[in-house]
Amino acid sequence: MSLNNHPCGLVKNKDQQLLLEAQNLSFTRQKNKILDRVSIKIYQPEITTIIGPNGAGKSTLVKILLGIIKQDSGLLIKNQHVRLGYMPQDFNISQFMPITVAYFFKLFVHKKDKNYFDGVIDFLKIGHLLSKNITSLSGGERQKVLLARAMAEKPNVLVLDEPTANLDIQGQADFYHWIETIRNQYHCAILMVSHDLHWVMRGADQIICLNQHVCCSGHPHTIQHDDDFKNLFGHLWQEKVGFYQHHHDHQH
Amino acid sequence: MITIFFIRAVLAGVGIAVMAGPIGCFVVWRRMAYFGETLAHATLLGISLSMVAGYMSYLFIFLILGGLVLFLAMIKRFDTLPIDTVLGGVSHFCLALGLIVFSLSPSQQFMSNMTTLFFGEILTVSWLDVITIFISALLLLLMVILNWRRLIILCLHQDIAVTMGISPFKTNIILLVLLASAIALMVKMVGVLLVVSLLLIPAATAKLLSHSPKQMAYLAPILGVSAVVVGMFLTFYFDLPTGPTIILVSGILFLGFFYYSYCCRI
Repeated sequence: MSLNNHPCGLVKNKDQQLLLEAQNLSFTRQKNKILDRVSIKIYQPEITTIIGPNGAGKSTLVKILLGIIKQDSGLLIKNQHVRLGYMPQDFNISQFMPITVAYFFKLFVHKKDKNYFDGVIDFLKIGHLLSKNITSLSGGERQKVLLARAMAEKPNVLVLDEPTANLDIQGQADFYHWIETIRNQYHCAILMVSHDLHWVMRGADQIICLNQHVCCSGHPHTIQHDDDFKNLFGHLWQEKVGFYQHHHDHQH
Repeated sequence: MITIFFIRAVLAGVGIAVMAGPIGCFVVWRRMAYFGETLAHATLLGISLSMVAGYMSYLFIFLILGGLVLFLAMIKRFDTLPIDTVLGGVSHFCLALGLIVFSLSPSQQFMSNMTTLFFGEILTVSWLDVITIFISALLLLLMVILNWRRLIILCLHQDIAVTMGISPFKTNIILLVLLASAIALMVKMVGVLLVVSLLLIPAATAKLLSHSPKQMAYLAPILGVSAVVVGMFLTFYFDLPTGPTIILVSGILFLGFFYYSYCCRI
């Protein structure tokens, strides 16, 4: 594998487009430094994952990139064609509002995109959920509905904040499978926060280890030799299992 | 015999129920029941002040409500106490102050007027009141319809709303204005207790029967209007106090549909 001097340690092809770039983002709240000069680049169609301990500022970084909160200093540069789709960590939907999945989607899908979105529904195989009340969905179904919603505005960057946090192991495996197929089908860049080191090492194109600052970043193949990475995650990730590939080719 | 003042009162009640229904849905979705009650008690304070001063009741009401909202926003920033504790304290403070101010008013029959404050006297509304109610109901409902999508999306998820370009601040202001205007109007006509009941009970009943927010927002005013009309006729034929009868009817409607939705529908 040939590597150039790109900060991500990756060879960029011509069709890989820089969509979103953050330079030296800092964010402080109540005298706690939450982010310290964080820089990140999002290319289409790469899968970028942010990993890091609790309180590392992962969600804060995602929210700054989405424009939900504003950084204290640093630059956020958006490609003019960038369209963001956001899937939040939790879905604290009021359980007191009666709302079906179909009505929920209708709030977000533009009329002219109806055919496109019917395609998304078919693709994620959630047609049978449309008439159900959102509060009656299982965890996995709910995440798929949220994922579909994030696709409503034809995003080229999908931002997922710990999408598998509330899923069981099979649910997590299924969800990662959907994320990869979505990338392959719709060619969008994917930025996600994840705790699942095994999937991250296998599925991501770029890993960013965050602990207030960017400890290390790069492709899974290069980052696992990085000393900072070994310090943070070495006990969880030994190189001898590094090339173990787990295929989810069947369901239970 | 049905007289003109009875028809006037029914019309006023219908207008209020139509206005309260959809706004009450947002009170249920956003868990603002306690907040609504605090606003209603503060309105009482405004009315008492205007009675002592002898003029301009709406000016006093809106000044008090505006001050209250700013005060609550400030308290919330400090985040030292749970919001229901703050609301409970503020609500009863306003109520107490309102009653003290009211006792200073030149009116002779303190006790009978106090019942009016709590339960209102819908039978004494004027044509001007009825017209005011209908025009404000129309304006407030128009505001709900025009802002429907962003109000609903903000109820669902604040961060998603922001990424859709919806400002939570502006949208919350719209909701506050809707709620405060509706409450200010209603307290003056029908009294504190009836206002909160007309906001909450029809919306809660509609929730039992609906599958979408829109359906709930249609059903709540229909249920509210039924309670008002049935309650008024019961009042008329059995000589009962109007406000409490309307609340009772809407409560019985709720219990009936509650029983229906949990016991009869499997």
